[in-house]
Amino acid sequence: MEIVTVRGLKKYFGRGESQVKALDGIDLDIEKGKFTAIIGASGSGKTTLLNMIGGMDVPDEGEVIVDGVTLAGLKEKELAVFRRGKVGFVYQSFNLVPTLTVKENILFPLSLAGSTPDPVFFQEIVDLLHLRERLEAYPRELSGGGQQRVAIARALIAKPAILLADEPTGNLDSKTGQNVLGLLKLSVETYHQTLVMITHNLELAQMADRIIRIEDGRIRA
Amino acid sequence: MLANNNLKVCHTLAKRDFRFHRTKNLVLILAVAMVTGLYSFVFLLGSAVEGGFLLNYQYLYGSTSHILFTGLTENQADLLAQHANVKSAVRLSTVGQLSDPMMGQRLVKLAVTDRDYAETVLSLPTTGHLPEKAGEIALDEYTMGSLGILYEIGAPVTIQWTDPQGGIHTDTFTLCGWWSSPTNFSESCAWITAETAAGLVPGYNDENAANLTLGVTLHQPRDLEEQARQMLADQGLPEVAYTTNLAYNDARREQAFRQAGQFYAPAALVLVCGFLMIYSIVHVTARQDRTFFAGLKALGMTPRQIHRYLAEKGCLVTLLGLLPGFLIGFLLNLALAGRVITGIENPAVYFLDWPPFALAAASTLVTVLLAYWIPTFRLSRMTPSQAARSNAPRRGRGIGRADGLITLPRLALRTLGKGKSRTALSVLIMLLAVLLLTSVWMEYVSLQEDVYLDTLSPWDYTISDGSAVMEVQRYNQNSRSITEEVVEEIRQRPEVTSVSALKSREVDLTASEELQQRVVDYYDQPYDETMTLRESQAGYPDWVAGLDRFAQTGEYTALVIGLDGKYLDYVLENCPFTSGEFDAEAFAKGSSVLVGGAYNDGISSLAAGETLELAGETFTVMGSVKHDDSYLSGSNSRDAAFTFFYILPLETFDRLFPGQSFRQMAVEIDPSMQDSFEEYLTEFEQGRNRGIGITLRSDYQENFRNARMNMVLVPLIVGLVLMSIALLNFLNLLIAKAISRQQEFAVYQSLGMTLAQLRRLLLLEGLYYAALMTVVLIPLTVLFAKMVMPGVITEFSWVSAYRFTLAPLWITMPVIVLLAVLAPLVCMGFVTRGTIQQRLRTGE
Repeated sequence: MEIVTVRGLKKYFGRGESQVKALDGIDLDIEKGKFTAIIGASGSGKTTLLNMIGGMDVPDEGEVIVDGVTLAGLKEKELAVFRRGKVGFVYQSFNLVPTLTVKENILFPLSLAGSTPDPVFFQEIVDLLHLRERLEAYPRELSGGGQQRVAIARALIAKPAILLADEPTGNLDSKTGQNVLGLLKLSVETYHQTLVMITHNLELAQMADRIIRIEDGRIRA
Repeated sequence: MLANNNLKVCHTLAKRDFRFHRTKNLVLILAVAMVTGLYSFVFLLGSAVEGGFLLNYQYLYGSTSHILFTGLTENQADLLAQHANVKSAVRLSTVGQLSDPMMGQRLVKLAVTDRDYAETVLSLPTTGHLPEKAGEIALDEYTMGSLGILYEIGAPVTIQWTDPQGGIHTDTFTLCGWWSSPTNFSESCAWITAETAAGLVPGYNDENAANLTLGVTLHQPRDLEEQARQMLADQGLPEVAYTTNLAYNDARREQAFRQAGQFYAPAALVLVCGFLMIYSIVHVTARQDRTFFAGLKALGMTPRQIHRYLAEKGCLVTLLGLLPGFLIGFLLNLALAGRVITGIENPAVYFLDWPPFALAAASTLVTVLLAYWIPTFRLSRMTPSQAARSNAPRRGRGIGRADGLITLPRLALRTLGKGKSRTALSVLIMLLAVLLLTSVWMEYVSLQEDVYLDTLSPWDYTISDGSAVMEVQRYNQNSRSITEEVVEEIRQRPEVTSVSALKSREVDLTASEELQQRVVDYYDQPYDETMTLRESQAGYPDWVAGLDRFAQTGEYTALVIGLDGKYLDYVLENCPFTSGEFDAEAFAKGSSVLVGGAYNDGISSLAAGETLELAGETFTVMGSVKHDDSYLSGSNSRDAAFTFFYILPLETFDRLFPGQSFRQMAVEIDPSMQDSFEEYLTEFEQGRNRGIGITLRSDYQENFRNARMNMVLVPLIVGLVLMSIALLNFLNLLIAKAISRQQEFAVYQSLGMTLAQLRRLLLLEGLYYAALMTVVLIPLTVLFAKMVMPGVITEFSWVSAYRFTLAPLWITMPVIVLLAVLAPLVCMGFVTRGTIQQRLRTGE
């Protein structure tokens, strides 16, 4: 069963001679509960595709349906609510809120919605990602791996339909990267979630159920 | 779906932001305090000026009571005083009204002493006391001057007064006190005791005597006319006469607000300056902020939540900046209000009220929120990716060499192209500051002291008779304040270079039929398309009555003026001849006379060659002039409202009217001895026991200089603040540009750039910025000064004359160059701190 359906997706940047076709007619289905890796060279359109799926950007043409929600035509406020509930993001640069503690960062998507967290689920995630001892720390007090674990916990807390990870290990050394990815995979498996991850690292990509290669804005394999 | 918008989280984020960015927020609070201070100052000063005008209206009205009911019986006064609208009431028993012809246009009541009432009409003696015994009287100084009463306790006071039935009486009292008159004319009083009043008008205080005036203070001083009518209707007294306080009149309040408008107007400048100042601080880290917001949006923050978050931050800095801002505003007002509002001790405290502070707080909040919101308004509508992309550097056109090599100057030039909007903002603020200061400075230097003094004070000092100090006073030609001895004493002073004197006398004359017809025809000629000259004077009933009398009978009251020296010069310079010409020799002989008519073209009087009989002597008219009588102190009788001026040499006047004292004299001195002469004049005035008025040229100079400063004071302060903001912003731009590129410079160094080359690069960048400022500021300021300012100066004031000057620009330019050169060099230490490797890592 597909959780993401992408049809005829096009996205251009710039105009005239300097126009770049970031996505040039992408058709893609992503199955629910599977781990999909997207690989490709820099500038091939990987991040743009991920952004389109996550409702972070609007396409010039084509259609994106995520967990039954058609993103075309949604206003920014509706897209924000969509991102909050349906998608969990994990970035290369962590994107934690520096002024909030680890605990507050993890719960931030729920705070934005004014929702009450499920304490059992919160404890589970915290334990799974080895964050129990650092809940009151601020992001700057954590290592890169620690910050990425917080980002994963934050992505999971709202029980999103899909997890989107953009080079989640790109800022980490290889050992920490392996550990973080292991935790990410474990989390996804534990909660039966769908993971779409961008990576340059073919070794890491081999851990995925499916690998998609993008070149010049098109899917090659 | 997590569809709710939780706004509490915005509060948490805003609060945490304060804890994490203390320095930036402290700077913001200081900026907010400065903005609040400026707003508070502008509103406090405007409010004080408005209050000053209202107080002036109050003086004009003559009472601090809100409504004055007149002609009341005791019972009626009781009824009105008991009305629910009334907070407090004071009463006055009037015996009559001073009706001596010498009182001129002033109306002074002869009334029974009542201290409470005297307080409300600002008429408590400052010398002596209120009457306590029978026969005592207390007067204001203008009345004493008009009646020629000695400034001595116990001096006899003989006055003519009229009772309510129209009976005219003349009685003599003993002076027991006097006070310096406020500028009121409608509610002046001459105080006597109840015992004296009973002697003058037996039964004046009978129950049915309708001679009471009731001054009431209301709980709500609004719609006074409506309240007065309502009170009278409620108490069944519809026929009672009343007046309402001008200071509470809606039209007057509107007028006061309009007059204070120029002091409120700079609030608009504060809005612009404040916005730019706070904007430049809030968005000093715009790039990081955009990334931060893109991240928050990715996590599901809605536009409303972003707005709320920013609003909370804005409210917090505003809240913390208010109190110090109020203090700054109050202190500024305390220091400067006294220069703007004269005649009141410490006006900043006297007019202190809370609404200006409330308005300043609200205005500051709006300014701060605008500075926070406007730049992020577009951002909040973007998707996170669009927001992040807006941070990406735009690709500019290459300005490198064809061979691909780049030189330091070209590399520095590339930097100029980065962050164009921030650079443009910096240039814009600087341009605004320079233009504002240029306009203020040009306005200041355009005001010509010479023109002002020549018009308002053609000579250094005017000493006038006590009955002719004010325009509303009628000159008392029997007064003996300025005698020959006084003139001689002044003339003998070592400081004095010339003394000119003037006497005047009203003389009843009858015109020939020919003159009568000429003048009637003259005033019947068209003034414009809608009216005749006579009709144009309809606002002056005494003048119209005089012309009617003249037309019907040929009778008129002429004003014979004897003058010499500067007064004669003034007439010859300012009164154009309509017939004949001036012959100094013939004039000095004393057989010729100059005739002054209307200040209009054409002959409206006797003409050159005609003859005139004065005090039994026949004079030949040497010439007729359009007479400008503004050199005369005080006014003449109502009969002489329509008159002809016959101007003679002083000696001739003395021959015709021997023994008459002087109306006024004009004194010129050696300017280097001004201080000692003014010291002498002060002693001279205090030593006199009769009223005299002294007008100092230095008063006019001081008035001019104060007025000139007042006209530019507020925009000058705002301009200086804006200039400080502009310079700080420019400095901030230079420093931020250098420091934020620590990693970039590490890359350059890693590729072999020496410290000297790096220093040169930074220096070149600074110079390019200075050059950019120069290229924008100089031509635009010159254009502004040449094209816009002439029109502004023309409209600015009647004493202003356009003068081209760019002083603010020439002062600013070296500062800009200095900052541009020094700031990057000062940053070198920070930029090159640590090893290249450490700095390269910093950017990761």
